Amino acid sequence: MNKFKISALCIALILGMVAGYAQTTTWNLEGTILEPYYNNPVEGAIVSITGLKESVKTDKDGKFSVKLASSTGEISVWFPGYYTSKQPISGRKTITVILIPEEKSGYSENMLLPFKGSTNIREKQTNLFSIQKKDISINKTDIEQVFSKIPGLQVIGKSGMPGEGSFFGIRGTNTFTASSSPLIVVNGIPYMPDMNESGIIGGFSKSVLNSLNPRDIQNITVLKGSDATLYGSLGSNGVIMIETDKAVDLDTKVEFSSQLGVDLNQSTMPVMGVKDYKNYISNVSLTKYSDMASALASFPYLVDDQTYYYKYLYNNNTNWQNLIYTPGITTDNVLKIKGGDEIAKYDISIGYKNKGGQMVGTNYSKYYCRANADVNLSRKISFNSSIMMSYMDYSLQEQGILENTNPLLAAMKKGPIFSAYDKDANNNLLPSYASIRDADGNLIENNSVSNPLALVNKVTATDQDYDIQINAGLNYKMNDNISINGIMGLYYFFSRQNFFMPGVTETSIMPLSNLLANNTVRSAQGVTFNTYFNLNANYKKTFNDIHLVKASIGAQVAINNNEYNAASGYNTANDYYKTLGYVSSSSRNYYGYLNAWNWMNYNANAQYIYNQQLAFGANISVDASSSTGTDATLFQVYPAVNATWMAKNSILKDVNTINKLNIRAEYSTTGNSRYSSSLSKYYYVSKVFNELSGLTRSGIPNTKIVPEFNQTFNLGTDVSVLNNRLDLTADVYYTKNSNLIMPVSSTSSYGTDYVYANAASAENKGVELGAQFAVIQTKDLKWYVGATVSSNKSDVLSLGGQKNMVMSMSDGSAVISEVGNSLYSFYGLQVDESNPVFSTSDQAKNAKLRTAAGKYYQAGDMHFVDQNNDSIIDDRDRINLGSANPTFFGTINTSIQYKGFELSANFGYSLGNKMYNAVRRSMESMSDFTNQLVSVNNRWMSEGQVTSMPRASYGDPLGNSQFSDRWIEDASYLKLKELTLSYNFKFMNGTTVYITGENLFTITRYLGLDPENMYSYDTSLRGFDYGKVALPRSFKVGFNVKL
Amino acid sequence: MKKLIYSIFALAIAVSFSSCSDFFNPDTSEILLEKDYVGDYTELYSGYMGIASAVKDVADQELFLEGLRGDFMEPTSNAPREIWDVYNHQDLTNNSFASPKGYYNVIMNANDYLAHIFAYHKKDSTSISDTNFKGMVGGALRYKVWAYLQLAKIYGEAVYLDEPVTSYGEISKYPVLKFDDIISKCISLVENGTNGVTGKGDVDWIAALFPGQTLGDANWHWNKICPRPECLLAELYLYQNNFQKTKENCIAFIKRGGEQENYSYQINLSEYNGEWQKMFYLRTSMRKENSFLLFYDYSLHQTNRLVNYYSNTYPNSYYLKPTIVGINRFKVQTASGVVGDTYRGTGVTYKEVNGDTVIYKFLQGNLTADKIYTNDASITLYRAAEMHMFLVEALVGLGRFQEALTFLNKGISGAGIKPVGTAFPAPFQEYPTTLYLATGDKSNSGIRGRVNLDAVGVFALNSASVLDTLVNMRRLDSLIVEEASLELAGEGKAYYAMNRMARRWSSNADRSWASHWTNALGNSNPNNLWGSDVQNTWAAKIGAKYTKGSGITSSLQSSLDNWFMKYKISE
Repeated sequence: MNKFKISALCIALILGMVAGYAQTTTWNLEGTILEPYYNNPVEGAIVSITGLKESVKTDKDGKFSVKLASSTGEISVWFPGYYTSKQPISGRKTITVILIPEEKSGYSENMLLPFKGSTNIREKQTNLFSIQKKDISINKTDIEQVFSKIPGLQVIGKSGMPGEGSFFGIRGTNTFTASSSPLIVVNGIPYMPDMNESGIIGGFSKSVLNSLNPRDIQNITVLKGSDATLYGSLGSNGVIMIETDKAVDLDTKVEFSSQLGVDLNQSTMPVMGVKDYKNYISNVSLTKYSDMASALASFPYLVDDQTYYYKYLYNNNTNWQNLIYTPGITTDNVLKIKGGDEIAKYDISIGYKNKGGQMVGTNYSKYYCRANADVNLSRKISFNSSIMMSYMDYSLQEQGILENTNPLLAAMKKGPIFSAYDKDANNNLLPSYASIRDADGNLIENNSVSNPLALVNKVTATDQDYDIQINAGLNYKMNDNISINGIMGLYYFFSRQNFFMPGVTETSIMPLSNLLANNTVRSAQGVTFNTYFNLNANYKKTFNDIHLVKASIGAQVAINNNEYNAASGYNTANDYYKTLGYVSSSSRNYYGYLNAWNWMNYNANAQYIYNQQLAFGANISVDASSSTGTDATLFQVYPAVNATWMAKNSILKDVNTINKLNIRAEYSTTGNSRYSSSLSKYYYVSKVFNELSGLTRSGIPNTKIVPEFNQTFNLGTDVSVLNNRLDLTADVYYTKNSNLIMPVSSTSSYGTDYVYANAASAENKGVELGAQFAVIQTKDLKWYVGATVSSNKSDVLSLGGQKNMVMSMSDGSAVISEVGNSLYSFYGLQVDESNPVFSTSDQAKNAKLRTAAGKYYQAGDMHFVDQNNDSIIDDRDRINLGSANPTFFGTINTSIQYKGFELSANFGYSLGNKMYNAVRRSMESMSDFTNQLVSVNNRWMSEGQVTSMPRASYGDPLGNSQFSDRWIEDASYLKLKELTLSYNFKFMNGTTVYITGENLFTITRYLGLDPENMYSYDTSLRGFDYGKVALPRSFKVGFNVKL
Repeated sequence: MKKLIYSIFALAIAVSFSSCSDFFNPDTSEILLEKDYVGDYTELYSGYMGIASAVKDVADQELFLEGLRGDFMEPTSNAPREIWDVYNHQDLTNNSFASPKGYYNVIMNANDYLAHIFAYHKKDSTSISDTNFKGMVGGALRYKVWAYLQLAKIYGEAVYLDEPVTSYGEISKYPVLKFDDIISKCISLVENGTNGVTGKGDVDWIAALFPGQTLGDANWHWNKICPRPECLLAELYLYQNNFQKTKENCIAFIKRGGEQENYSYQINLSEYNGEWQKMFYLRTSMRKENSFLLFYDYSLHQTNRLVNYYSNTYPNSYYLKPTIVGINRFKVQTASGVVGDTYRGTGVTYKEVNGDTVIYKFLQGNLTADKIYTNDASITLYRAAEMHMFLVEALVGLGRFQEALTFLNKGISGAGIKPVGTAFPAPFQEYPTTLYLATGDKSNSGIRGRVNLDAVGVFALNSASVLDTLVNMRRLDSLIVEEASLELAGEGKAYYAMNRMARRWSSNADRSWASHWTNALGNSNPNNLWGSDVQNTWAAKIGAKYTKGSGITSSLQSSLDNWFMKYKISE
C-alpha cells in the first residue's frame, strides 16, 4: 500500500498543493445551515466534521460553532428530508451550507459505475448522468421513456404496435457494420439481446427492454465518457447502467401499483371519398385500357346506372381507417415486497401488464417476477443475486410497406365504395367479410386490396417470449480499503413467433408471394443464451483527510450465443390448417442464423482526488473478442484519462452565489467489437447443389479485421447556482471514429462485390445540455422546470478511398454515406423546384428528358433534375437529400406541486430531421386502382395546368413516384409526451393516485401518420416511415399504495 | 493479502486462456472454418458440388450478356438501367449485371478446392480412389477453365489466379492476361493439368451417388454437371485455329457419346424436326443432346433468372425480348422452298405472348400457372449441336468442305451416304458407322436436316481453285455463324462465334493455319481476304438492332477490343 501513498503524495507535490496543509492546532469554525428557498435557517441539522468525535446540531438560527484540531477536514451536514452535504473546510473559518431537499425534481446524487458499485455526485469526475427512482414517474410503463430525460440520449418511439417500445441511441451513429446500440448493463451484467426485427412478422421490432419494469428501477446511469472505457470494445456507443430495486431498510414494505388506461389511435391520413375516388379510377383506367368501354367493363361502378344489378356492391361509403382502430385497454400492475433483517434482505416484485393496441387484433401482455436478495454471509463476505423471469405474449399485425397485409395501408388503399361485409342483392349486410374474389374464385380486378377488417380480425401474428435473467455475485471485503467482487450472469431468451394469413376459406384477403399464396404460414423461433463473468478488486482510501485514492482492477468474460430459425410456406388445404406441416411442399422456405460471439476484457482504473478540489483519473482496458480477425492483433488497448476541477471547493469556496462549479475534461477511447464473428474469418458455407450438399467459399476473408476504434474528447461542466435551485450540466464532445468496418467495393476479380475492411473513419461532434430549475420550492408549493438540448453532427471522414457508399432498399430508396456528409443520408432524385411538373407538352419536349429505357417525359410528368446532363433520368442523377439526424432534440418538462397535488408535463422535440414518407409515396403514386390521398386531386389533368402533383398513369412507366425528394419531408416536431395530475396522500406512506394523458398533441408539418417513428433498432433505417402504427394517444388512471 | 489477489487473477487468466484459440473462434456449426476443411473425405465431394453451384449462379448471366451484345436480344422498357447500359455499351462501373464476379467466384472456389484436395491426398491417399481423385481434380480444373474461357470471351482479359487468394489486397500480385494468353493457359490446364494430374479426369457421379443403379433418365444428368474436356478443348483450339485438334476432340466427344452414353450426341432422328424444342424443357429427352447442363429446382431454392427476365406473364419482370433482326433470321430460312424455320422459329425460340414478343425457348417448361414463377428452367452450356458446329468449323478450316456441309445440312444419313462394308465411303471413313447408322432413329440427320431446312453452302463444294477454296472458307465461316445464331439462339454462343470469325480473318491474324493454300498461291493475303471485311460485316449486323446513330456499329468496326465488355478488374 505504500506505493499508493507515495504516488498520491507525489501527485500532490507536483501540483503544488502541499501549501494547503494548515498547521494550526486549534481552528474555530462557524457555520450556517440553510434550506434553499428564502434562505431559511435549518434548526437541528447534524454537523459532523472529520476528527471531531461528536456531531453537533445547529441552533434555531441554523448556526453551529466548533473547535477543530485542523482546518483540513471535511464537513458533513445532514437533516431529515435533505441530502447529506459534504465539503472540505479548506482553511475556512465560516461556512454556509445550503442543503438540497431529497424531493428536488430531476436531481440525483448517486451514479452507477462499472464494477465499483456507485459514486456520489461529489466525486463525479466524468460525463455521467443518472436518474433515480424518485424521478421515474409512476405512470411510466416502458423504461425507454425514462431514458429521454438524459441529455444526449435520443429516444424515438418505434410505433404504436404494442410491445415495440422505443429506439434509443447515444451521440449519433458511429458505425456501418457493428452494433450501434448503447451497451445496457443490468445489475452489473452486460445485457446483449438479439435486436433484429422479426424475420416473419413484417416490421415487428420488439423492445429489448420489455422484461424490465420501470417500477423496479432504482437507478439508471449513462456513461458517455472515460468510464465507458472499462467496457473496452463494448463501450463505443455509451453505456446505460441499470440497477433494479434492492431492499435498504430492515422493515418489511409492501407496495402495490396499478393503472388502467386506454390507447386510442391519434392519426389517420386523408384519403379520397367516393366521388374523388371514382374520378381517379376513370382517369387512371384510361391510361391502362385503350378505350372507355374496356375500362367500364372492369369498373362498372363508373357508370351511374341505377338499374345495374350489382350496384349494391359499390354503393358504400366506408371509412376504412376508422374500422381498423379500436380503443385498446391497458393495465400495468406490480406488487412489491421488500424487507429482511441484518443478515438477509430481499426485494420481490410480481407483475402483470397488458397493453391492448389501438389497432384491432393487437395486444401485448407480460407476466413477470423478480427477486433480489442481499445476504451478509459474514462481516466480510456478502452475497447478492437477482432473478428475473418474464413471459410475454404478443398479438400483432404486420407493418411495413406490405400493401396486402399491413392493415394500415390496406385501410388507406381500399376504395370507400366497397363494403366491409358481404351484402345480398337487397343491400343487407351478411356476417362474412366482403370477399375480393368472384364466384369462380378469381380475384376481382377492381377490388384487389385486402379487406382491412378481415386482416385485423383474421390474420394471426403472435409472439411468445420467455426471458430469464439470473445473476449472482460475491463480495469479499478484505478490509476497509480493499474489496473483491465476483459476479456471474446468465441470460436466456426464447422466442416463438407464428404467422398465419388465411385466404382459402376466407376470400377477403389478397394472396401473397406473387399471388400464389392464398394462405400463408410462417413460423420462427429464436434462442439467445449469454453468460458473463466478472472478477474485480477495488481499493479506496483517503490519506491525511485530503488525498482520496481509488483504484480497481478486473477481468470479465462474455460468451454469447444466438440462434434464429424461421420457415414459411403457403397454400394449406384450407384455413383451418394453420401449421407448416400442411403447406405445399414447393412453397417451403427456410431461413436462419447462428451467431456465436465471445469477449474478454481486462481493465484497470485509478483515481486521485485532492481535497475535493482536483481529480484525476485513468482507465485502461485490454480487450479481445472473437470478431477480431485471426491474423490481427487479438488484444486491443483502450486508455482513457480525465481531470476535473471542482472550483466551488477551491477558489469559489466563499462565493455563495455559486453552489457548485465543476469543470471536467476527458479523453477516452473505446472500441466496437459487436459485429459478427464470421466477418473476419476464412470460411466455407453450405451451398446446396440440387439435393447434394456443397461447400463454397464465403467471399474473400479479411482476417486482419480489428474492432472499430473511437477517441472522444469531452469537455463538460456541472453548475449549481441560486442556492442549488438551478442545476446545469453541459458537455461538448468530439469523437473520432476510426477503423470503421465497411464493405469496401473490391474489384470483381475477388469473386465478390465487396470485402469488409477497417477502411472508414468518421467524426461525431455535439453539445449536450441539461438544466433543472426549481422556480419555486417551498414547503407547500413547488414549481420545477427542466430541459435537455442535444445536438449531434456526424460526418464521414473517409471511406477507404471511395467517395461514397450507397445502400439501396428494395423499394428503390437508398441512403448514402459520403465523405464530408452525415452517415446514412437519403439519396435520390431531385425534383426541379421551380417547375416540379411539366405543365405543357412544349415544356416537356424542350427538356428532352427520357428514362434509361428511352421513354420521353411528357406533360404532366415529374420534372426531375438531370444532374449529369445526359438527358437521361436514372440513378446516376441521384443526390444527397439530407439526413434523418435532427439538428437538435431533447425534452422539456415541468411540474407544479401544491401540497399533495402535482401537475406535470413532459414535452419531446426534434428539430431539423428529415423523413422518407414511404406511406405517402405509396398513397400518391397514382399508378393503380387503389385509393389515394386527397392530395392527388391536384394531379395534372390538362395541358397547361400548373401543379406539383403529376398525372395519374397506370404502372407509372415514367417513374414519377420513384424515390426522390418528393417523399423527403421535414419531420421536426414538438410533442406533449405526457401530462399527469396526481395526488399524494402523505399520511398514507406516500400513496398516490394519478391520471395521465400521453401523446396529447403533436405540432409538426410532417404529412405522415406520426413524425416520431422508427422501423427497427437499425440506425441505417432511421427516418424511414414504412407504415408503422402511430404512437397511441393514451389516457390512464392509476394508484400506488404503500403499506 | 496481495498474494491472494494475485493468485485469484492468475487463476482467472489461466482459465480464460486455456483454450484461447477456440474461445476466439467459436464454432457455430453454420460455417466451416478454413482450418477445419477438409476434415473428412466426404467434404471433398461437397467442395466439388460447391464449385458446381458457383457455376449455376453465373449461368444465366452468361446467356444475358451474350444476347444483349449480340444481335438476338434487347431490353424492354421494364429493364433496369444496368441492363440498358450493357446493351448500349455504356459505362459499366459498378454494374452488377455485367460484373464478372461470378466467374471469379468459380475460379476462387476451384483454386481453393484444388489446394485442399492435393493437400488432403498427400496426407491420406487411400480414402478416395485414384480415379475419383483424378476425376475431382480434373473436374475442378475444367470448371476453372470454363470460367476463364468465358472471361476471355466476354471481357477479353482476366486476372490469372493459380492459387487460392487467402486475403484481401492480394489481387494486385497476379497478372492480367489478354485473350490469347488466357486461351493458351486454359488449353494447358486441360491437357497438362496441375501437379501431374490432367484436367481430363472425370467422376462417375451416378456410380458415386447412386451405387448399384444403372444409367437412366432419373440420374443421367448428374454426369453432365461438369464440362467435358473434349468440349472445352474443341472450343479452345478453335480460337487458336488449331482445326485438327478441334476435329479430334469433336469426334472423340461424339464417339464417347455414342459408345458410352447410350447413343448420345449424334444429331439423330430422336430429336428430329418437331422434337427439337423439347431439348429445352424436357429433361428426360435431352440426354442425347446435352453434355454440360445445369439444372435447377425451385423447391430446393435453386433458381435462375431466365423465366423472370423473359416471360411477360405475371409475376415475371420481362426485361429482355428478342430483336427484330434475330427474329427475321428465322423468317428467311427455307424448307423445301417454303419460307420459315418451322421447328426453331416462331412458337419455339420466340413467340407472341400477351401482345409482345418473348424469348420463348426456355419458358416452355414453365408455362403453366403453377410453374410460371418457379424460375428453374435448365441451362445448357454445351450440347451436341454446338459440338457439331465446332466440327463443321474445324472441317472448313481444314478445307474438308464435303464433310463440313454434310454435318451442317442433311447429315450422313440425310445425304444418303451408306456404309460400304464396315465403313462409310471416303471422305467419311473416319466416322464409325455404328454411330451414324444410315437408318433408324440413330441415323445422323445434320444440324439443318434435323429441323427440315434446306441445305446451305453447297456452292463451296465446287471450289475450282485454291483461291476459291480460301474464299469459300470465309463464306462458310459466315454461314456457320448464321447457323449458330439460329440453332443456339439465346444460348450464349453466337456473338462469340462472330467475334471468333472477326479475329480469324482480321488483317493481323495468325494465318499459319492457311499456309497450305497461301503458299500455293504465293500470296500471304490473296484478294485481301484478311482485313476488316468480316469484322465490319458482323459489326453492321449487330448494329442493325440499335437506333440509327448509336455508334455501336462503328465502334465494333473500329477495333476488335471494342467487342469485349470493359469492366475494371484490377485494383
